[in-house]
Amino acid sequence: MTSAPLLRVDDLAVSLRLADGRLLPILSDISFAIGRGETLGIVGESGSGKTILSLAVIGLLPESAVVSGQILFDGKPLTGLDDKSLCRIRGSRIGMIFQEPTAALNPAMTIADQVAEGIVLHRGNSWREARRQAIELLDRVRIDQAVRRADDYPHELSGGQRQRVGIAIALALEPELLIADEPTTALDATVQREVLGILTEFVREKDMALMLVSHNLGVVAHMASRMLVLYAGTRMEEGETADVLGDPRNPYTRGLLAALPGRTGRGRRMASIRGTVPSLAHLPPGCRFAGRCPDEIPLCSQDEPGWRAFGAARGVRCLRALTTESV
Amino acid sequence: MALLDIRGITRVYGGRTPFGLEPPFTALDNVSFSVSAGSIHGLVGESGSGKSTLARIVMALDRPTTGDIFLEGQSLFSLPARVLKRRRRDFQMVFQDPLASLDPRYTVARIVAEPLHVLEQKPRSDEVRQKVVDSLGQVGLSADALDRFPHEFSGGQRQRIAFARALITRPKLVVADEPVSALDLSVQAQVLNLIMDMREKFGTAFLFISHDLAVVEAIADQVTVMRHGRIVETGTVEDVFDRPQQAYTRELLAAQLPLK
Repeated sequence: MTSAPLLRVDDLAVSLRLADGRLLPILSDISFAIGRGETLGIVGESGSGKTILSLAVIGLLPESAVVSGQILFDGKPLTGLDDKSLCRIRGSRIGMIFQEPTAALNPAMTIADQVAEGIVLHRGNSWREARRQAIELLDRVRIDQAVRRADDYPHELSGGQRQRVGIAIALALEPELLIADEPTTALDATVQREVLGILTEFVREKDMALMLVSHNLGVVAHMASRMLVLYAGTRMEEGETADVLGDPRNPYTRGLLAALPGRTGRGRRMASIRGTVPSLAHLPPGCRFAGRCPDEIPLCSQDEPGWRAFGAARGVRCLRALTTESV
Repeated sequence: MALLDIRGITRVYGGRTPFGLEPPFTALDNVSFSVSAGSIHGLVGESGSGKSTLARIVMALDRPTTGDIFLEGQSLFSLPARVLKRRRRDFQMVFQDPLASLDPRYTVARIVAEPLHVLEQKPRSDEVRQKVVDSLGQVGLSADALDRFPHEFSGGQRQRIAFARALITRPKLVVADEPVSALDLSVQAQVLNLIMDMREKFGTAFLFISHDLAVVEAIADQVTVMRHGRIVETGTVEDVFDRPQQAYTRELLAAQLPLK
């Protein structure tokens, strides 16, 4: 990265205040940065905290969330901003695409109006002008016959088309940062390819920064130059995508790669990670991956290993990672 | 003779319905293929291809407009209801979302025992308990699961419970509709291995429905590709994945995002 990154997350921790007043830690020790024109893939299974991380960055955490650490957007802290200032940034400078397009769209509003809404609110354009721009955007995200479909309601579209509308809404104001939380998980493979292609266009042409959250390693490998692996609420490994996938240093990352179907050949038993992801309320002592890790030693259950940076912008959380390196 | 013979299945929805005349929609159009005993037959296709409609018809949960399903040569749709019910011990189903397919008010013991009701000879209650424990053991769950409820388990464990239920009557065929789609990668492999184990141990055949080609390639012997209610291509996993004959199959394969 040449200049200061567009988004910088420093030592972020998020806890939720439970009904009985206790704090349940959801995320801890999260740091990363994304530059303009860069795509960071954030990989995590369910319970990894990846959705809470997306919500934290766009400032949509529930009221009960307690946040520490810093989120810097274009050099200015987002954490602690009041709602009014956040609203000015949200939508216009930071956009978001959600996993379920059906849930993210307003069922009682035409698709053109939903795309135009942000343009009217943030740019002060007339509805007439905003709708004209909306149709252009719908065309841009390859909604067939955008002019004719502009007055359709979400239920009249297929899942893939709805997700394109979600993308058009997020991109309407040409945000500098786009957060995409599992943007293609609900889509068929052929449609997924097209939707990812549209995102890539915006990253290239508008120099947009893309924070791509996905459980799908194939999607991340295809899209992201850098990747961050989350597990049970913290980061386990980070680096250039090719480095992390080619030379994973955390046993969890290695386990995920080994568990990909096809790694062992047709009809052969697959490598799996034993056990299941622990719930955040019952994390094991020490390393969060202890109990499931094939390389575990007694020391792993004592203290949680710290984050260690090494090599070319890589980092890993594992007691044994850097000792095996020196072997 | 094939274990399962799907012959010329067409399913048209709409037409004359209780809500008036609706434009007919052909969900399945003359679909035929067969599944041999002890094989894993992958059925792939995108949303709207008719995979789940076919699964429901194979399970005799829905009737075809035309065509017939033969299980060991016996036509399912010409059986009287009572006989069909008895026959159900031989073909069972596992669904995509275990949270939706396991009754939240029932204990695991009751859920897993449920298919035993269709047996001619109803086992005594101590036998039922033993069968449930055995079936849970086969999917890697211990007896302390018995008196717990579905919500107390993780997604992968819930899917194991669904498999324990499907396997308790020692069926010859299990229809599994997207059984790993809702699971995380790290547990997906556990469930796929379980399917391969069951086939090996008991000779259970699986009609394995998935939109994920990589998963089907990893476990299936035979593959059928569907689109818009029709069969595009069917053959061995080697034929379909290494030498696809149809443009659509090639398109699906090209849309995959493998790690380099």
